[in-house]
Amino acid sequence: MKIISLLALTLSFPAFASSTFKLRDYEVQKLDNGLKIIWIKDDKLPVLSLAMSIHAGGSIDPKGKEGLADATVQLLDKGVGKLNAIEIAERLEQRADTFGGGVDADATHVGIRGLSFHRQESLDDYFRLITEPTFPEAELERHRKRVKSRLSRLVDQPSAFTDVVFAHSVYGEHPYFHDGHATSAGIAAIKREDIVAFHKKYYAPKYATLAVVGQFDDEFKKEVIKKMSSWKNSEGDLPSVGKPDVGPSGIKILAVEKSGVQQAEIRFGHLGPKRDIPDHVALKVANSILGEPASFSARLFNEIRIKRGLTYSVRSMFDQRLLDGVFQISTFTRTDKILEMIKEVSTVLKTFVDKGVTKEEVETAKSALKGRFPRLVETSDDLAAQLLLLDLYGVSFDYLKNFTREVDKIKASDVNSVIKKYYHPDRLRIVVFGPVLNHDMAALPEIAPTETKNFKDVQP
Amino acid sequence: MRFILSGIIFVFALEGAWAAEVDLSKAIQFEVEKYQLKNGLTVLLQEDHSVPLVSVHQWFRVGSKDELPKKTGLAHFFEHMMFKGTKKFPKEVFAQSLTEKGGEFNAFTTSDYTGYYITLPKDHLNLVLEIESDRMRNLLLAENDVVSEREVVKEERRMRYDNVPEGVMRETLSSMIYTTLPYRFSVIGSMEDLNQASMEDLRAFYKRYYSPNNAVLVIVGDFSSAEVKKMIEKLYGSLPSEEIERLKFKPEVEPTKPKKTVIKKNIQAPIISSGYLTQPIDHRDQYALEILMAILTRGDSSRLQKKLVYEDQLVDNAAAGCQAEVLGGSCLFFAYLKPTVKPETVLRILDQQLQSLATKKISDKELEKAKNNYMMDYVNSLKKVNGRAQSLAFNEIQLGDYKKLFTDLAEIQAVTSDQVMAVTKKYFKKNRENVVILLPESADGKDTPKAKNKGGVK
Repeated sequence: MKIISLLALTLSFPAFASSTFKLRDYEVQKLDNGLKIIWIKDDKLPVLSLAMSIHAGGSIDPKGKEGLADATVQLLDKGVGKLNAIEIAERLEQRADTFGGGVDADATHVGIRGLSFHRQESLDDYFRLITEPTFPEAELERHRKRVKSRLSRLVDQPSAFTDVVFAHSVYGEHPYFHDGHATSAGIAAIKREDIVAFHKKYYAPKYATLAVVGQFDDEFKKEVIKKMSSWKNSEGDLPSVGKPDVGPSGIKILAVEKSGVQQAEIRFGHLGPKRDIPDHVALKVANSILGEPASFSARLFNEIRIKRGLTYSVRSMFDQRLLDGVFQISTFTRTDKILEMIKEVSTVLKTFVDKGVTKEEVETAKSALKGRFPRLVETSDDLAAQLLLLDLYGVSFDYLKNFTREVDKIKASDVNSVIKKYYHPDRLRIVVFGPVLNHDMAALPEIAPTETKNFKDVQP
Repeated sequence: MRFILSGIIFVFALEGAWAAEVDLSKAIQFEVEKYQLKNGLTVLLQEDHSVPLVSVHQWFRVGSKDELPKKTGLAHFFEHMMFKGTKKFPKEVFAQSLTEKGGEFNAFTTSDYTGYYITLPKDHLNLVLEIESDRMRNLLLAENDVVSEREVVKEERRMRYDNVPEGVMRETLSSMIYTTLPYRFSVIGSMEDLNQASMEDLRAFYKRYYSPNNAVLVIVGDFSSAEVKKMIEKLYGSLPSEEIERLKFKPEVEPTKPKKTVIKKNIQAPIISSGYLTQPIDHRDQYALEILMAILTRGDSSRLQKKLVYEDQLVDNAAAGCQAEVLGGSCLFFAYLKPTVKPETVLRILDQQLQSLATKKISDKELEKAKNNYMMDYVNSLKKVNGRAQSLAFNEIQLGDYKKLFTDLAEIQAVTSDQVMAVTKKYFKKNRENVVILLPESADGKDTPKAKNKGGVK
């Protein structure tokens, strides 16, 4: 089962009164068993998707069993009733339904999408797969082998590998470090009972929000409510997860070496704020001036790529979560430019924090954010994805409705104060994944205290 | 990339299970207006007032196939230079003005065509057309921009080809499948040629290929055609057209021997790929080939996923796809093996699967499943203004008529199990096979000596 994007299946938007942007209509309903349902009707195409977020993700995987939430969702469609994995796949794929799921630090996501004229069958199958999976032992073994094999070859994809190493170096042993992904040790330790128990406890309506998106009528709405109301709740509560530790100040470098690497992957960053902060929009403005998206007129892109030709891509981002997220700058460069790259990125970041941004930059960034907004919710599935995220992080749905107005309110002074608050060049963790026996790799200690490891010793 | 391989959409009533229940054709059909300016610029307009956005795609019939010998990568290098500004829109103004409107803009280069696109709120369509018409003929090329951008392109090459295992496999496979057509070279080009590319090369390339008669302009979204047509006439009408002389290539000869290349790299587990020469994009066999690819790897219940990933647990991932271009085409397989699995084991199974499809008809049910999934993917590619503009541009540029986007659906629906069997038999013969095996350096040499140079390539 692959992680699928449940976004965007349809062709269009409802009418807009003028060029002023207006969000399409949606309804929110809460069932007696606690399940929240978001209804978004869209008749433009004969398609329907059911997308659910369950507020139990990788952060509640027990220590030493990293990958439990992930294994649970990956095995949902590997056995139900008398049907085995292939029979389930045959059944769904015959009518071109796609069922899939994935896990991140804070949640499990699981959805189905298909053509709306067989939506009743889609609903029935979807509900059964979520509520009655049999989790055959043989399927867990298959999953285990596949995960181990994929983890062992992750290093062959330098960008993805470096992201994993970087997250670990920022979060330390906090459960956010694996972002819901399995680790080698974790997947080896997970037993079938663990999965059955995880499913029993957390696949419960009180932890879930479902978005019903696309072409449906009142009759179908009743069917969904009937079906979902029959979903039984579990005992107990979600385990609480402690705050990550900020760690000591000072810049630290982790150099990971592997022979044959043709280009160095580099990450810079530190812990960042959680999603639900009042400064969210001001921080968005700030970060789009620094480096998001990786495109013309962002400072990093301009200085590092356009002026110096040091890379093809450089971007900065905040990964915001229920608890502390991550601020991260991602880039790569040729192996004899590693030192220059680190120096230049550090200078751009330091100037950004020390000198702040200008009024003109702030106005440009505000205008850009407002202009990009309609694309963020272009289709009904895009809107559903945004609402599910807000729901997960406990942010009011009005965020979308008020977004443009909130952006308008931001002043340069607001941006400069969030920069001081959330960017910490003096606390940077830098990860470099590069070749062995390389001049620049060897010279890293001249920049900051450096720990050097062979890639085999940081394998996830 | 998938829809780029051939263009299908729901327009006619569907057969099989779907047809009885819903007329998908009506649900997703859209009207397109096509016309040409006197200077040869082809324009496609599709109004959609339900979205307060416009997407503008300006594509040129030029790609790496048009590069002269020893000038590989020039088409793509030049694409990067198209963001360096004109006198009227210097590079800072160009980027700044589009960014502050919230525009998403980028470009891509393939072997056959180069596409530039901008999607942004509808109020700024005029600005986009001013920029696009201006940089079609009035680009400034400055020496210092060429110097820094060359390094950017080389980093892109390292990222996409040199530093990931798939890069060398793709380049090697292309050079084995094609012997005369320019598709034997990668779009990104060799480091050597990138280092040599000069200002004169770039200027000559620009003058020769960036003209209205070599371009297609597509606009999809919330605008009024009457107004936009006037705008287009005003901005593009006076641009001069250019005589375009295409390079000539000898056609590929029918392969007679299998070829195999083994490469060792510092990787953790083997990857194998194989490729077969097929036909140009407008050849009738493309429809059955698309269905065949879906039968092999689309979904967990497809033949290769079921056998290789699920039942035998030999590979982590298997993928297949056909790439059809104007001058020729090919179909490729990729499989990521588990660390201890021998490439020969997987290649043998792949061969058996193809043999079985070449000799035994698939069931109606399996055929229908492939068609259903193909079409579902197709609907998904048309969900946004940007996707629709891209599909229209692709069909107009590669097939000479955007309407193929609509009419090809009937062709896919008409594919029979006999045709699937026939194309398998015709193209996937052992003596037409090209194999590239990527092995970890540490792997014991047992596979290597006998595998090496079997077909005498590389």
